[in-house]
Amino acid sequence: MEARRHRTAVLAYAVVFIICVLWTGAAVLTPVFEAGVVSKATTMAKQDGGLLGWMGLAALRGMYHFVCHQIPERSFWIDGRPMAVCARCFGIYSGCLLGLLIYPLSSRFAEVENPPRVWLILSLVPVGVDFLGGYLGVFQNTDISRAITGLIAGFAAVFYVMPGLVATAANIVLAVNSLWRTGRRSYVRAATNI
Amino acid sequence: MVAKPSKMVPALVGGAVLGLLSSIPFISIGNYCCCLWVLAGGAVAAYMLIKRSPFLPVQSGDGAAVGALAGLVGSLIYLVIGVPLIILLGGNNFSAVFESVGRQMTDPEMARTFRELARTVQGSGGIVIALISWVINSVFYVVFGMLGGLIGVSMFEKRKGQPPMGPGGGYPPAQGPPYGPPPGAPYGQPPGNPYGQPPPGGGYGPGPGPGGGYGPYGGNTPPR
Repeated sequence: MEARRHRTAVLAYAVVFIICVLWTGAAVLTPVFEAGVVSKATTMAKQDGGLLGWMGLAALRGMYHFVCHQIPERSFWIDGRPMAVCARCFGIYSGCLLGLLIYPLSSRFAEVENPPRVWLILSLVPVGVDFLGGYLGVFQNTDISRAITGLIAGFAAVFYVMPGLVATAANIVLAVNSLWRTGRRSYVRAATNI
Repeated sequence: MVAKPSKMVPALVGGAVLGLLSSIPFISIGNYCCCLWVLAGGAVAAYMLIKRSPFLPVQSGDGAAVGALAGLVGSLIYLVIGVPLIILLGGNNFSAVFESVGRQMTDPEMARTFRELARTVQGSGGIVIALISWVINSVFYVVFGMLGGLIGVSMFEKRKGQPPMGPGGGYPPAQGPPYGPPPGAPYGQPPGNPYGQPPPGGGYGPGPGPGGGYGPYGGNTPPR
């Protein structure tokens, strides 16, 4: 029982970790990809693979547009080009990745109970203060402040999201096993009836 | 045995919050902040589920499920309200996407090309493009709705572990037999009174006889 729970937790963790690496990595590496596309083909009219590159780049930047405003002035730049997400979103995703790297080392790996919520609330305070302070004109926030406060929130969120994802994975595994057993039983029943 | 509360009503309410906030122009820009309204809709669904579950603490897995359901409902509301609004107002998400891509391009020629593409897309194929945009949005709504549900359970569920024990121990009484009426009829009526004859003079009121039987409701009659 304990071994099965641990296996499910490992499965859930692996899936979430891979998705997080791909999501964050793609956002960070978009400028590098763009530089490669630019060096290969300067116009979309060229038929040497340049069009595909530009469309891929548009799809990549477009995907993040559904979750981020992508204002270049509020984004980190690499190689003279802005990332696909703003500084705050980059901080949140980096925080998630950092949290996921540390999560297996914590004693809560296969836990399905959440830690005390006070830490989650406290982790959201800096990002809230940074946003409201900048929005109301109390102070001028910077890319660094946005990224650091986002990183704190993203790091803490992992410890509150992962237990639920482990529980959800356990439910899915249970449902699939049950379906498999039911299907096999009905198959055996049908076979014996014949 | 206490049944878990239905997730349908919380999912509908959370989905309505999510769908409406994401559909209304200008207000919907909140979603540019890590899908804020979608996370909020999932959290509202989780909060409602907790309020509708007086005995059993809501587990984080339930929060994920109700959040994902809210995302699904929200995407349908977006299809009914948001997509027509986008078409009526003459804009679509793809136009905004190309505009944004063009803004981020450092190569001036490419930036101009994408801006032109944004203008071209805006003027044509509104319905098809709005529907494609809705499909992509729906994926984000379900995923971020699930995350909102998980965070909602973390924020609003104060109870931990197993359900609280009733005064007599165990679970609170359920409403009626959980597995239907007990079998009786197929095996016929048992012969005689299964509990034996009541003792004469015992039990409630005087024993059987003239003027006997059980006493009136409301307790013993006052002495005259």
